[in-house]
Amino acid sequence: MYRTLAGLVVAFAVALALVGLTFSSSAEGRADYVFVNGTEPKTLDPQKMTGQPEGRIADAIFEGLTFRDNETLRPVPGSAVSWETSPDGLRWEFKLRPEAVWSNGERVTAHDFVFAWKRLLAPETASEYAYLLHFVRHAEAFNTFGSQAAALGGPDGAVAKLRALVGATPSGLPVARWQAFVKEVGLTDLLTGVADPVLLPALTRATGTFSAAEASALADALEGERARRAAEHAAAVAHLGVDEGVFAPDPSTFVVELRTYTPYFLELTAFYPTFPVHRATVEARPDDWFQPGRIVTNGPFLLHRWTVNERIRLHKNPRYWGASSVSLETVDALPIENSTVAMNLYLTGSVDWSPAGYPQDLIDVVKRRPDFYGEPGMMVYYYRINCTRKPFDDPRVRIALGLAIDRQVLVEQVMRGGQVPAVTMVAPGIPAYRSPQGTLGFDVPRARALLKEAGFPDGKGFPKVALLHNTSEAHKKVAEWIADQLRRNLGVDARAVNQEWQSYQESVRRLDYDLARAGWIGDYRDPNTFLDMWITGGGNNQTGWGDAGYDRLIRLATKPLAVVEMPAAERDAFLATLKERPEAERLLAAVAAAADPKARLAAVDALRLHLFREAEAILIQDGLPVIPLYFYVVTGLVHPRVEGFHSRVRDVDGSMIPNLQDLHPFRDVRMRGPAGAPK
Amino acid sequence: MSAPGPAPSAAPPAGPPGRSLLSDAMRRMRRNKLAVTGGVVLVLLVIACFALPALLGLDHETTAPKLHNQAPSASAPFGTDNLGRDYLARVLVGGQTSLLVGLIGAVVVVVIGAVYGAVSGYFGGWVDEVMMRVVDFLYGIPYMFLVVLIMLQFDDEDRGSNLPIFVALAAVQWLTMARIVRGQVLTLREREYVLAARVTGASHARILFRHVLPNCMGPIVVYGTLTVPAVILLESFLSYLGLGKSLSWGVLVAEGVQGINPVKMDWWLLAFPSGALALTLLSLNFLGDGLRDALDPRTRR
Repeated sequence: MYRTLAGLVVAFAVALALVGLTFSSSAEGRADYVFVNGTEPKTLDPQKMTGQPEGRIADAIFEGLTFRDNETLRPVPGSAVSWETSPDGLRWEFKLRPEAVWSNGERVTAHDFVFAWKRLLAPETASEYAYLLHFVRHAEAFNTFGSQAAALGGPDGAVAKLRALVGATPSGLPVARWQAFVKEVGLTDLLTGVADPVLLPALTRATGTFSAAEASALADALEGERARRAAEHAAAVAHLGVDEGVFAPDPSTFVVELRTYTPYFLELTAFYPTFPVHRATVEARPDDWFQPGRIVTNGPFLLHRWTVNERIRLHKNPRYWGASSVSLETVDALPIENSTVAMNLYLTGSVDWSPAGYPQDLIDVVKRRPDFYGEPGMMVYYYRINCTRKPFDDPRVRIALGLAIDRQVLVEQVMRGGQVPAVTMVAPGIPAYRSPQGTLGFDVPRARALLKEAGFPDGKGFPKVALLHNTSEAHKKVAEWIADQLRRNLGVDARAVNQEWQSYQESVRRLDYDLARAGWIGDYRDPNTFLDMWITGGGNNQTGWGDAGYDRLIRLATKPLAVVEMPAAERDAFLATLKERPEAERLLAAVAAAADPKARLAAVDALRLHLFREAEAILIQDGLPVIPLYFYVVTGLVHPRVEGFHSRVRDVDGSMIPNLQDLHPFRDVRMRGPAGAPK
Repeated sequence: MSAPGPAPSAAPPAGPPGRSLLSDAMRRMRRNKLAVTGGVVLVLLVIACFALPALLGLDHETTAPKLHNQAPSASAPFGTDNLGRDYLARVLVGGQTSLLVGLIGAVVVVVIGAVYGAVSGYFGGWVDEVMMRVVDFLYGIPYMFLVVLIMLQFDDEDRGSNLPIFVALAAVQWLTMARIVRGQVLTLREREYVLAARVTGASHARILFRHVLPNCMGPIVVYGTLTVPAVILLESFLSYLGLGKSLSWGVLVAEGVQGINPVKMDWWLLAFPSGALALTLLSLNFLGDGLRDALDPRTRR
């Protein structure tokens, strides 16, 4: 009897041991540093990626000309050891670090950067971030003008079609026919950034008729624009990467020529779209060169293993020039989207850093923990309004919707995480920029009055409003609360509708929604990152809204000197369109009075920021294709043993500012003590 | 011992006078305590879900974020959810969807399945072959896949309505019903009273609907009752996955699960909708069992 029992126990123990062995041999054990990375990265190709989960891995395995210093997040020398700028700030000459090598031992050269930057801009790469470099000389022409000129020209092109249309309407071209033509050929997308004095006003003209002479002038102007784009594209193809724009006079010198002074340029050299890639590796397998075993990188870490839906394992790169200052040997990135799972992993000590990793409803409990951090982020949460759909095409309706939502209650009682109510689109934290006055305070009587003016007294006759959001408990909660606000304050029947992420994106892109939730994270500390997306036909606009005055301000802000150099009459007409003319005049005078090049650069930059301010005023006071709701807080849980993790960083002037994008380069993270459940 | 299920056109019943099939069944049913309790609970649930919100003036949509996640109390007997909405109202209104989906789903299943199965079994031969192969084929497709596909077909117009879920559930649930009815009809069509009807010149439709189908009522009613909980459960499951579009018990359970975690226990968010769901399913199952026993006493042995 006892013998049988003993035998059973032994057999059971052996079986258990075998099971244990099977599992332990398949796993490599816990990494030094484990963090929750949200969704599974779609790609690790720096020129094709977008999104935070991808960015965290790219920052670890690649290194750009600069990288972000852990304590200040300002760019410091990375693959480039030093750089010089011309007095007008337009030409940058980077000296590459002689000891910087790829993981296969080859040297990182300026040619690698030329290859990567041209690759980012090449239309066949179809990078969503290509526009980031449009301020580089030839870049925009290289990126977009080729396909635009092709679509404009040729026997089936827009120019030929317009000539046929003009020929068919000898008594004058009705604007309705012209606008139908604009829509049919997608002319606004073919004429991005157009400044032509004939075409620009025509694009936004809504009524009347073009006389025969005007119509043929229009066709001529379109042909002129086509010829200009074709010529600039040809010049860009001939010179970009060779001797103009971006080029490498020798392997250790990388030159960038800017079209216009861009204060945030250096910051972009630490942003992943501008990271170098190893040419031979990429060209050998263009679609999956970034798989482990194949990928060649130059950053502080190596991609060791990538098991989809399980983890990405990084190892320290022994060949990295700064390897001696890298403390972590191994890092694990876990693709976990479920916030409850993320929190449980954190609480059991399996994870050291969990950005936003807790169910939103638990914020009251979580924010009292000592290992919780929360700082304002450079992100705005807002709703897009479909301006092509009735009745939202009426700005009064859009403003009424914006006025009927009590943001104070939203942040204090619904969100409860220290978010900041938003009545503007540009998030706080951008140096020297002040947003214009928002007009979206909580004002129910005014909202009702506006709705009545628009023909919907007490919301009568107003169609059912669908509030589209992508599937997530947090978004659903906000959408249901807004639905209740609209119902209660305006008498408008609204309801939340969810779609999973892919179909949600598709619906928004096709303008198949009423109101749709959105969030935007600033990519760099400049108002441009929040404002240039709203230009007519912009890829991320997706509201159908467009305003010629707005487009003009955004365009001028990319080259503020154009305002200074305008002929007096034109400048006067331009200034007359501004909301804060005296301020603009004061800034123009300051540019004229600047004594040395440095003072002039600063004065021009102040003018540039003012142009953005004027543009934002149009966006949030007149047009309102969006309802800003609140500015996010960056929150998360980080284990007390993690050192070198800064939720606030030192700014240039020495003051402490929030870590706006929740960036914590692993290069400078150290562990104190063993892993375990946090107290 | 009386012969079970004599048809109206057959010889007069052999049992004592005044005891029809139905009254026999009712008598047997009344003796089954569990089934009666199930029925009563179900009726109470239906009344509560459809009448109470209006009677008590409960509002399931008005938010009061200040009073979020309140535990049950006198003012909010079921507590409040994460936007401070009255959870009692939400559970009751959610019940409307779940019960409606169950009822309508079952009716659609019964109608499609019974007619399809009866036609297939009655005509037999190649008609039966073809019709049953179609059923087999549909069985072969994973139903989840089919449901998701069907639901994605309705997007813009019917968002928020229950139509897509009715269609999707009915489309996958009628198969078993069709098989059961076909099996019954295969034996019934050989009965003498069918032959008698045919001899008198009755049309196929008349034979099928007047003579054959009424005699399958037992299995149809029984299986129909058991389909209701299956459909409710499937709807809850779909809602749990995020495919349900409106408020139902499944949606509430899915949300309530979020309230259970090591940091904080908002038990009422999970307990009330899942309790209501469990109560409904149990009642329906007891009722279905009782009906089966009552209508088809042979299976008891």
